[in-house]
Amino acid sequence: MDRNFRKEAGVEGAGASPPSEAWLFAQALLGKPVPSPCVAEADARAEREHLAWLASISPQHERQLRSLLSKEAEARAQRELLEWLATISPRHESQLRSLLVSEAQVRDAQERMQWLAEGSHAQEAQWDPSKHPHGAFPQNRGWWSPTGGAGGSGGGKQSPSFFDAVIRRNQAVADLTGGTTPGMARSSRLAADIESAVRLPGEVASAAAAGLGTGGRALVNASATAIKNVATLGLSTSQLELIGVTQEDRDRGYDTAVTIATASGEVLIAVGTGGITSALSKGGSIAKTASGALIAYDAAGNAVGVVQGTYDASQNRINLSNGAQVAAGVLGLGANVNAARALKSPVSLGKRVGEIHETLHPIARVQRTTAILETSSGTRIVASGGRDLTPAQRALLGPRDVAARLAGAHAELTALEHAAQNGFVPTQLTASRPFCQECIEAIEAAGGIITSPTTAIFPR
Amino acid sequence: MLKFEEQLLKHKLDRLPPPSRVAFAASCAQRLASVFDRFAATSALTGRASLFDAALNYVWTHITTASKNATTGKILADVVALIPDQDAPGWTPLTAYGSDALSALAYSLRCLQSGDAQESAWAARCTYEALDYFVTNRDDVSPSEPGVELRVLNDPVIQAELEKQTRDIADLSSAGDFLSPELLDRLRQRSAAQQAITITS
Repeated sequence: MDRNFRKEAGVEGAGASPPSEAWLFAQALLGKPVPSPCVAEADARAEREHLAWLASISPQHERQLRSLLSKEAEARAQRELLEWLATISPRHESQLRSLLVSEAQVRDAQERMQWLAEGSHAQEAQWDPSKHPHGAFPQNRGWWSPTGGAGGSGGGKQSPSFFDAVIRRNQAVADLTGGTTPGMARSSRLAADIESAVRLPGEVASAAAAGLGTGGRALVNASATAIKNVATLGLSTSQLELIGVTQEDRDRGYDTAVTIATASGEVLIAVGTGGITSALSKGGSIAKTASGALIAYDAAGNAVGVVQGTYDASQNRINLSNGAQVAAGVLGLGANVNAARALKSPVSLGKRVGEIHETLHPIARVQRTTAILETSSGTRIVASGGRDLTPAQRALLGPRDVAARLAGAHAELTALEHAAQNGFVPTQLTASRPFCQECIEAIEAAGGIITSPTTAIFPR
Repeated sequence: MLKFEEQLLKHKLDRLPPPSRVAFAASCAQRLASVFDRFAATSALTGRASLFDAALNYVWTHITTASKNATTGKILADVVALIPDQDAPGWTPLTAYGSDALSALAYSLRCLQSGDAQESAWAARCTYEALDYFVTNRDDVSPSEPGVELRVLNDPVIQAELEKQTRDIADLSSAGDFLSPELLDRLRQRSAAQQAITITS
């Protein structure tokens, strides 16, 4: 019954946006130099020192420096105030948490950017990786060191944590199933193939380390396949399995999901390397929805995927991992039309959930959950956990909305129960807070597939 | 028939001096004290149930006397920590009332800190929502039933609470910029005596 109180991290508010990972990947794939954040930092430092020096001799620059210092002091004071408020107010605590997550993301992105920059600079200097492999220890991942590190892949650019996670995962699967699949046995070799082309995104590595469900595994493996396909110009179309896959995963639609995610990943890379025009020039393989998302359609694989917002990858900071995650939902082959329809609308459903949830007073916003279950008839079942919807929430409901009531139950269960009792066929579900385990089980029992911590779809 | 209109209420509160806004908020929270006691008696608040009365007493006594921001902040943190999550295990209908009572008290404390009319309006909203839940739960109201919103709003217990809020605003408005201890005491005694929700079982 425990809720995970983590909120979606906002993309704004934590300093300047770094270039998108798709773009960085593209630069690495094309062998172009990747800008280093260290260089940018050094430039900023030098500029500041120069300003300080100018301020000592020029009143104009002194004013400029004073203004800068004042802004910095104000920002520090604001931060301290927020930190203090966070100790007594759930709303501010939530704001602070979002800010910290955003800052961590920026740091993470800068770190990866630095990795790519180091890799790119090494290529420029024509280093031979077999002679100068990365030790890839977390504390010195940029250093050159002897082979035989914990990564087990023989001198690649991957951090050992990722490969360790892959190996541990494969071992766990082998232990559970009583055997190692050929795909798992090839794992290290395939990983080496990939790393010779490009590094997997940090998020994917983290996801692998965290342990994944079928959809997540499909995403990791498909991301690898997409990168390899692009790196080898499609000469090799074999599906990579960096993470072990069980028969149960395949029964749950793993193969379909990996096809969808691969297509989406390739579209993302196409956008990253050549922008939307280039991506759209691929003709029937992709199309743009009214909302701006790109739909990847693989005629041969008969699969549909959506890369949300990739038309503007640099601004939205979409990367291979989060861009393809919607597509990583395990969709049935026969559900292409429904899948495309379902994948098109989570944004508007999420927005609607937000609108209804925001009518709560601030304390209630962090203590309650609002959920909307969309059904095949177009009716949306709106529910809240525990005490059900408040008068302000009910007042916001439109003609397509139906208020559900089930005192004491979670919002998701209230909505699902209302659908079952009234003969509605669910198509998708969005909640204002991450699903708890009990709700996940109920959603899956109702035929739903979890596509993110707060969303699920119900393929038919 | 009276309606709960938060924007209109805030507009009225905006025209009152900050101490009167706090008094209005405290009055709303006071009317949920009885139902909070019921919640506290059946929940895991053993040993901390008295915090509600103590914190509410703190608000009343500091409406016209200076309060220490740090002390108010500490009490506010303690109150907020008691507010139950609606998705937490062990939910009962009393959880909803407990949550509303503690939230109204938290907004009273925040109003004491800032004097903001919105905080006071939120306190009133908590009391109104507690009554809305009381009526829909008591009558097992189906939200999709035609005309149900009007019927719930028109329920005598909800109308009575809205009348009390209107009366409090009128009394505080007539006091102008000077809140006498007598008026505050009368407001407090009246709210304590006229509880919003009475649970008999």
